[in-house]
Amino acid sequence: MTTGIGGEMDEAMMLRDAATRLFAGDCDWSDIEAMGLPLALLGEDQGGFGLDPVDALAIVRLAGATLVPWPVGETMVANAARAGAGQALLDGPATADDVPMLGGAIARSLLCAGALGRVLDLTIEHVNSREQFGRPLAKFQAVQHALAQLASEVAAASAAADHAAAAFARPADEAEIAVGVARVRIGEAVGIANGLAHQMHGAIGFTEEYQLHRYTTALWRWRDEYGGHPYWARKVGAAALAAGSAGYWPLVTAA
Amino acid sequence: MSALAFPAPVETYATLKLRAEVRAFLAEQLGARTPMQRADSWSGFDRAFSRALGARGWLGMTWPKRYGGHERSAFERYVVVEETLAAGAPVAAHWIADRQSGPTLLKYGTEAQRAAVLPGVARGETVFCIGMSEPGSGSDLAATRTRAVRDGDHWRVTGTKLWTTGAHEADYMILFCRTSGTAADRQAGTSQLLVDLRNTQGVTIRPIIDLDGKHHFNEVHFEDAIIPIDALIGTEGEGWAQVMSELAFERSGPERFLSSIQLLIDLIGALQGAEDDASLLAVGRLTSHLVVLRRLSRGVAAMLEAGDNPTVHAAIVKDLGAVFEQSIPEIARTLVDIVPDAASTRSFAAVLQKTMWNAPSWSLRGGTREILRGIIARGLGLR
Repeated sequence: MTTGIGGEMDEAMMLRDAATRLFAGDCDWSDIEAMGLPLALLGEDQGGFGLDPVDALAIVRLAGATLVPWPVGETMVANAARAGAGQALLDGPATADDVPMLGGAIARSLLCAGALGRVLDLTIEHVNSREQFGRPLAKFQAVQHALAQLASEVAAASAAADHAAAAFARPADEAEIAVGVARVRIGEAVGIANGLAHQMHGAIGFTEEYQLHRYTTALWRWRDEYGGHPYWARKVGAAALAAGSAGYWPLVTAA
Repeated sequence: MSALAFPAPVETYATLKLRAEVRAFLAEQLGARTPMQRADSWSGFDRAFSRALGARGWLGMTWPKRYGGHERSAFERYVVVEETLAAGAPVAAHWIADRQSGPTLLKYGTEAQRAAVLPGVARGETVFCIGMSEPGSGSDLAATRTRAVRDGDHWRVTGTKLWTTGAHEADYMILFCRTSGTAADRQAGTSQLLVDLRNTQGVTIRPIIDLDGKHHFNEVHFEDAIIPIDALIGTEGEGWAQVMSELAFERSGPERFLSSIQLLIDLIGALQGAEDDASLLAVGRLTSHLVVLRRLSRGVAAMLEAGDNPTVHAAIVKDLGAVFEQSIPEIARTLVDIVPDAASTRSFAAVLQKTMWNAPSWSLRGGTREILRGIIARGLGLR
């Protein structure tokens, strides 16, 4: 969501549409640069779009949904950090050393949300088309309930990724907790969602030729890069225990 | 995927200011409340507290002023609801009326019903109960057998409602019943009636004691009860659509993941000083779930504010919320070596037992886990 300025909202939508078209094909890094995406988190005076960071980071979710083989989000957050520190911007895609932990974790959160959306879509398509016992799998209540659980986990991960994206503009100490929350929740959602998606797909989902594994294996990696579950859960847990009984609920509402 | 997108929560100067006001009010009102009493928030029946909340303008918050409401936003109402629950305030005397009975009357009630009933709800004086479940009609609500027969200028009602929380304290019930056809007609031929429990002959309310020895549930028996013809809410025969709308209100709020918040607060107290890795990881995980559930739930409030139908989104929050709140006692017992015991002088042991014993109800009340997952599956286009 943007801050309500009509022009900015339009610009965000145009950028999303353009990125969707770009990511739908085989895109090169030069195409990504030509669209200005590496500078998407920068202000207009720095050569960026001057967008709300949440709108700029929405591009990373799209990259996750299409498994773009370039570090779009990582380069965005690395350049934002460099611009903030008055350093020269990157000349090309970011490498691991260029990416700050917090920014990398935000980018990974959005990639996971995008890929999980595709896992849900693929699974719905499969259970609607695959027939056993003379009817589509989707007609079996056990399958319906598994899909409902999968959708709930995907919804939770998506909201968590929104929370991480919104944290980009917050002070570092607040952002650490908000991003930690997102990483922990998304990590768990990935485990449950991948398990259910493979179960619903049956053997075809376990093959090299069918596309499900491209998403699930990426998710199993992404959720633990830039700090895995213990790293982020300890940070959130330490903050909660430091807040104590009396301070716990205020901490939750401020997170 | 877009169907499952939850809008971003909205924080404004008004909500921030209100949150501080509500916290100060609750600190003053609830200072003497013990952890065991706080763990009983939903079931805590205290007319004085509800009247005090109403006097502050914090009931019927989103309703028009001409019905005693305050014309504030769904986000502001959300602040009051979540703060009262997180503080363990006794909400039973206003809870059902403010959450679903009032909004149902506002949406479907006659002008006379609204004018007569809503101002009392907004003042925290009028108590409602929900007449949905029956002996043969639990999850299968459309199987209702309670029948209202038109007889001159009144309805003659016969049947039995079950698991009616707070009926023994309530002033009114919104009764879901059959006004034509038979149980075989399912959803068709059902209606909702506004029953004045204080002034209706032929209604018998009997207690049902729960596994914790408490009286919250009731069996409400109607035997040729005479109910005025103008007690009909909305349209005769449209009861099913109306009751589904009422259930969307019932399922949409933060109460669907805050039932065991007092145990989580006490757990954090019990773990302080012994901050081992297992505790840090477990509390970090639970807190992460809670913050994300809160974000989802506030997204539902944004949908209500925008006038969107939150049925599927509310079902997702309620299903995830029940799994979360039921997990808290199970995780707490892996971190603190203690026997759950309501009679213990250690409040953690007492709250642990109360929470553990109440937990099974959380994935039953307001729609079972199985019903919710069916609603979500339908939202995905699978049914």
